[in-house]
Parts: sequence; structure tokens; C-alpha cells
Amino acid sequence: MRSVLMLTAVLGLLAVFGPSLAPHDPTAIDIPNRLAPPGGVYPLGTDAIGRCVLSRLLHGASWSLGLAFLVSVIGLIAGTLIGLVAAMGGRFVDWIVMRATDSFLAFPDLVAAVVIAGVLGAGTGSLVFALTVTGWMRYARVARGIGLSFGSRGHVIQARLAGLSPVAIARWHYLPALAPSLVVVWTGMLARAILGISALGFLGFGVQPPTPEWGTMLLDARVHLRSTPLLMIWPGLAIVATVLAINLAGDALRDSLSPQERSA
Amino acid sequence: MFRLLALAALAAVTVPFAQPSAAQEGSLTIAYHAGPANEAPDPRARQFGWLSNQMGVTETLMGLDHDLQLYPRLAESIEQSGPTTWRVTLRDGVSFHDGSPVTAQSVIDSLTPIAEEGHPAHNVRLVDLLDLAGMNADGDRVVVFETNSPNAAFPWTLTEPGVVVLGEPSSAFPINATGPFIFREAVTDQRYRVEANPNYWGGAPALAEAVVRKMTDPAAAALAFEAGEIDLVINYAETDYDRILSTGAQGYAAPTSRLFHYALNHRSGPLTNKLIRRAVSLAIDREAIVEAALSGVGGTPAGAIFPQVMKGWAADIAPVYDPAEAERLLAEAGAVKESGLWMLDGEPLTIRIVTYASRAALPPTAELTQAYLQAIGVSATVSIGEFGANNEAITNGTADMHLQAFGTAPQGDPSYFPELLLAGPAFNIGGNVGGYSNPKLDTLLAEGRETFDQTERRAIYTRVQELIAEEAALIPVFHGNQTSVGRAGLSGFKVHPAETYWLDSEVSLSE
Repeated sequence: MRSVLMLTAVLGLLAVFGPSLAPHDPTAIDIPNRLAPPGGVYPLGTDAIGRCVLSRLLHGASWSLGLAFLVSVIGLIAGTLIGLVAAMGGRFVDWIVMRATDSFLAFPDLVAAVVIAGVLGAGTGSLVFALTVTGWMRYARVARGIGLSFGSRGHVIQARLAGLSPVAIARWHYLPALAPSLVVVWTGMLARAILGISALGFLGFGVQPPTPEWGTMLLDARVHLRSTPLLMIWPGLAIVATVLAINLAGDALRDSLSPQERSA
Repeated sequence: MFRLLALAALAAVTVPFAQPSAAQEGSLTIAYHAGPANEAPDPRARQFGWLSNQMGVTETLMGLDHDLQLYPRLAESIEQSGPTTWRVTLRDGVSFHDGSPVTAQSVIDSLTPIAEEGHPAHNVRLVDLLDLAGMNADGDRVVVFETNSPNAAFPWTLTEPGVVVLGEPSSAFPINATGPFIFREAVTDQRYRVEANPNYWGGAPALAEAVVRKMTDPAAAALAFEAGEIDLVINYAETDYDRILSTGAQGYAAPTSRLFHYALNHRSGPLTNKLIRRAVSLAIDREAIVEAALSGVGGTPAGAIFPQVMKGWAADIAPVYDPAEAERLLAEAGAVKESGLWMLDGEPLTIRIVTYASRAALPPTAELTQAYLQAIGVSATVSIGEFGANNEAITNGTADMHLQAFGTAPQGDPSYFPELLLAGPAFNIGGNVGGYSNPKLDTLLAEGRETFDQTERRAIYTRVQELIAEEAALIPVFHGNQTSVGRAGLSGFKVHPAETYWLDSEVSLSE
């Protein structure tokens, strides 16, 4: 648990401070040293137009993790609100909202994100929008599920009879109970968002050149797969390590917040 | 004025005599970044004729050899009998794939729908290039073409893959043509399959079958080639070319007429200013781009629009890299440098670049251009999209420069490229997406069409190229080689500078 959280913390710090650790400008080209092997001035080598791979990886951490954080937090807020509306709005509202949620869930999220990003055009804004639109449903399901079981509890009924507004009831009674489960879901969705950003970047729908982002680094490197495989291995390793660490952190968090599951 | 362009003697030399049929063997699978648009793409429509011509299904009246010189193909000879009159004598004994004979009337029947609005073969671009007033049959073997005005490019236009001789289609022969291969099936955007025509008039082909598979990702094509799924990759990734040859693959790298260039938005934005266009052109280090994006095998830096492979047509305009002069021009254009950034009308001068990824050299070229512009203090964005959408972005003003690869002479004649991309509305070909307008250029292009003396014509197209360079009407980056890769056992394949020819009777594949 401790080591996983430490690893996650290191990744978080890299996302924040990574750019200041970069030895070079990640967009500076050095044609005479293009495709240089690791070592010397360029610790992880250079890419096809002579840019420092390490610098791009460190700057890319900000983009990949930062965008994933943004996407997952927007999804968390939107999904929780929608779930609460379903839970607190009565049977008809619940039916409408949850059928809409099911409709969104019916589409494979990455495929839907590719379609949305394709229609909107490549770019960071399109990428965030596409992943947010396809990433709120799990929060809504969890919030609604827990919220429904909450509605009939005494203190909630009492609050309603006391004339508290629905917003106040949600704020003071529902959210504290939802938080632990939502945080666990959020860690999983954060990892999925990193994969989604990288996948869309690899497909050309993501962050545009010359901004370094792990998925677009993979995209740029694919024509060098056989001649300079390290160009793909570095960003690939970064994605794998980050997603693994966040997933493990999520598991550890779940275990600590729900000890009954651990004992089971 | 009345000049004779009799090419019968040349035909006798260049055209092979019909060979007795030999057994065809082998199936050749080709990877290419484009595929068929439907299940039986009409070669006369849009640019669909490229694939059928490349695959040896269709043939044109005239052809282009590997020196981009004209030769009679389905024609036996062509003769100009008046300023606007051309007599084409057909080769004797040629049959369509269904066995019916090729006659003068079948040529007329094949070409007439090109001008018929509503017909699937209707093609505005070809209507303009041909500029036909009428066609008549003089017996079974002579077609008399009458053009609306004198057109020196007319014999060259007869090499255009869309100006093709087709017979009546049927379910067995949806594309009923005359080539060494018979069209068998197409799966939209996936594959195009042909089989040998053992009765081909020029001799039966060596191959039994050939298939083109659409693979838009150069990296995927390279992997498929190494996995043995593909026998020939057209436009192999230049950056992996040396490595793949070291594995025993055969390389085919040769210059073509393809120009990698920036088409510009002339309607709105900073590039409406000629000085800024020239500054952008001067800021690009083309030598470095050729070295980095093409690994030195993919092309040569371009100053003029026509490459040296177009013998006699390429103007002597060297590419210039001069960042200091670029900055001077920006200042002359009214831009002001503040904190290292050029400002225009109080805003940072920003150039929006778009390109596409199906040719491996394009994205790094765009990124390098971006870096060179930023090096002189011009902001630039790069967006990787799709060719058609990029053209729309140029037209509707949401992009300033579209980096693209374009064949400058698919018919071998210099008139096509500037007329298509830069001529005014009078030419009506429809490729001037950036809205460039220059009456001087239009006048020169009209003169080029009507001038039959080759020396005078060369002078006109030299002036055309100089004007385009002076105006920076478009920004040439490099002349592209075609770098293709075939597996050991493939023989007879050669890169054609027009890129419209791949398969003929000679191409074979052995185990």
C-alpha cells in the first residue's frame, strides 16, 4: 500500500514538476543528431527530427496525466450530479436518466470517443470533450445506486421533513456517504483516461504537434518501430507504469476504505 | 501552323508485338495508401482511373514512357490536321476484355459520357482538359477530335487515366477495358483484384493475379510486408527504407513528378500578403527536411514546381533558405517583432498548418516547418487531418497552409498542375481551393495551351514557374521520389515518374 501510494505520488510530482527537470526544450530540433541512441547529451536519445526523448517524456507526463486528471474530474462531477438527480428525483426521473445512462454505456467508450473526436476534429479540446462525454456513466451508476439506498433512511427523511432543500440534502447527507466509493471509481477512471488520451493521441485525434504527449509520441515513432524501437518503448513504458501504478493505488484505496471486501 | 505529330514510326519501335500466351502464375499483393471508392469504380470519374491504369486494367489512347515522353498506346498514330483538329488512328486488332473489338465508335461512346452531366462518368476536370467541341468516326479505325480552341496539351491529355477506352460493361466485365489485366472485384476502401488477360494484344501477362490492399498507415504496410502478407509496398516509409533493404527486400527509389508543397489560403489570413508568403518560404530549410523526413532517399529540395525528371520543363529556380531575409520581409509587410514574436495588427502572427498522415514524410515535414517558423518568431500550429477536410479548411479560412503531395504531371504535360491548382475561374477545373487569382498567370496558361512551338512553350512555362515562385502562390518543399519495396522474386516492376503505371505484361513474381 505504502509503496504503491509513493509510486503514485512520484508520478503526480513528475506531472507537476517534470517539465522543469527536462534537460532540453522538448520541441527543439537537432537534425544532425536525429535518431541518436541514449547517452551523452540526450539520456534517452532523440526522435526522428532530433528532439530529446527524455524531455518530451517529462513534458508529456504533464499533458498525459494533466489531461487525464481533468477528464476524470469533469466526469466525476458530471456523473455524480446525474446519479444524484436520478436517485433523488423520483421514479420517473430515475427511469429517464438511467435509460439515457444505459444508452451511453451501450457504446464502447473508446470507439465512441474516436467518433466524437473525429467529428469535432483533432485537438486537445475535442479530446477532452470526447473522453468526458464517454466517461461519466460509471460515476452516475455508483452515485445513483448508493443514493437510492439512502433515500429511505431516517436522517434523510428527517432532513426532507425539516424543509432542507434537495441541494442541501445532497451536500450534507448523500455526498459524504458517496465519497469513498466514488474515489475508488475515480482512480480506475483516471487510469482509463490515460489510456484513452494515449489511444486517441496514437490515432491522431489528440494533442497536436509539436506538443509532447505519450500517445502522440507513440504515433510519431511507429514508422521507426523496426529501425529504432526505443522510440516506441519509452512512451509505452511510461504509459504502462503509470496506468499500473494508478490501478494498484485504486485497489489499495478500495481495500482501506472497504475493509470488509479485503477480508472477504 | 499545321503541324504533323505522326507517331506511327515510334509506335512500330516501342510497341511489343503480340506474344503467344504463356501460362500465368503467381499472385501479387500490393499495399497502397488509396483504395477503390466503390465496387466497380468508373475509371472516367474523379481520379478513379488511376487505380485501373496502375493495375493494367484500362488503357489510354496515348501513353507515357519512363522518360515522360508520349507514345501511342491504343492509338497507332496521332496527327494534327488543323489548329483544333486531331486524327487518331487506332491500333488494329485490339479487343475489349469481353472479346468485342475496339472501334472508333467505341472510343467515342466511351469518352462522350465524360461531358454528360448526371452520368456516373461525368468529370468536370477532364471536360476542361479535353476542351472538346466534338468527336467523329472516320471509318472503324480513325477518330477525329475537334477541340474548342487550339490546345497543345491535347495529345498529352489522351494519356490521362480518366480519358480511357471502355466497352459496354456487363456483370462479367464491370470495367470492360483492354489492358493486360481484367478487373474482377473491388471492395470499397479495401481491395481491388485483377486477373490476367491471356488474350492481351501486347502479349499475355506473366502474373496470374494481382490485388491492391488499401493501407493508409505506412507503418502497418511495413509490418505487413515483413510478415509476408504483402509483396510490394508502393510508397514505403522513407525512414525505414535502408533497413528493409538490408533484410533482402528489393528497393525501387526513383524520382517522380510528385511535388510536396504547401497550398495556401489566399482568401483570408496572413498569407494574403505576398511578402509574408515569401517570408514563410524563405524560412523553411528544405535541405534539412529532405535529410530528416526523407532520410535522404525520398526526394530533392524544390525551388520550382516542376522536377528535373520532367526533362526540359523544370525552371532553374534554386530553393533558398534565408531566415534573415524572411524577417526583413516580415518587417516590410508591416509586422512588428515584440519579445521575440512577430506581431501583425496587434496580434501574434500565427500560421495554421494542416496536413495528413498517409504519406510518412508529411507529418515530420509539417513539424519541421513549424519549428523553422518559430525559430524566426512566427507562431505556427500543426494539425494532422484528412486530405479533403484539409482542403475545406483552406477554403473556409480555418487553415493557412495545407502540406500535401501532388503529381505535377500525371499526363507528362506542364499545363495540368498550375491550371488545376492556381488558375482562375476561366479554367474551371476546380482544384484552386485557396482562391489564388492572378490574371498574368491566367494569360500565360492560356498562351501555354495555344502555343505549339516547343521552344516557345518551354519559355512560357518557365515564366509560369518564375511567376509562381515570385508570388509564392504555393510553396514548394521537395520533389518526391517514389520509394517502393518489393520482395525477392518480384521482377519487371519499375517506378514510373508519373506514378500512373505499375503493372504490365512483364511484371512477374517467382517463389
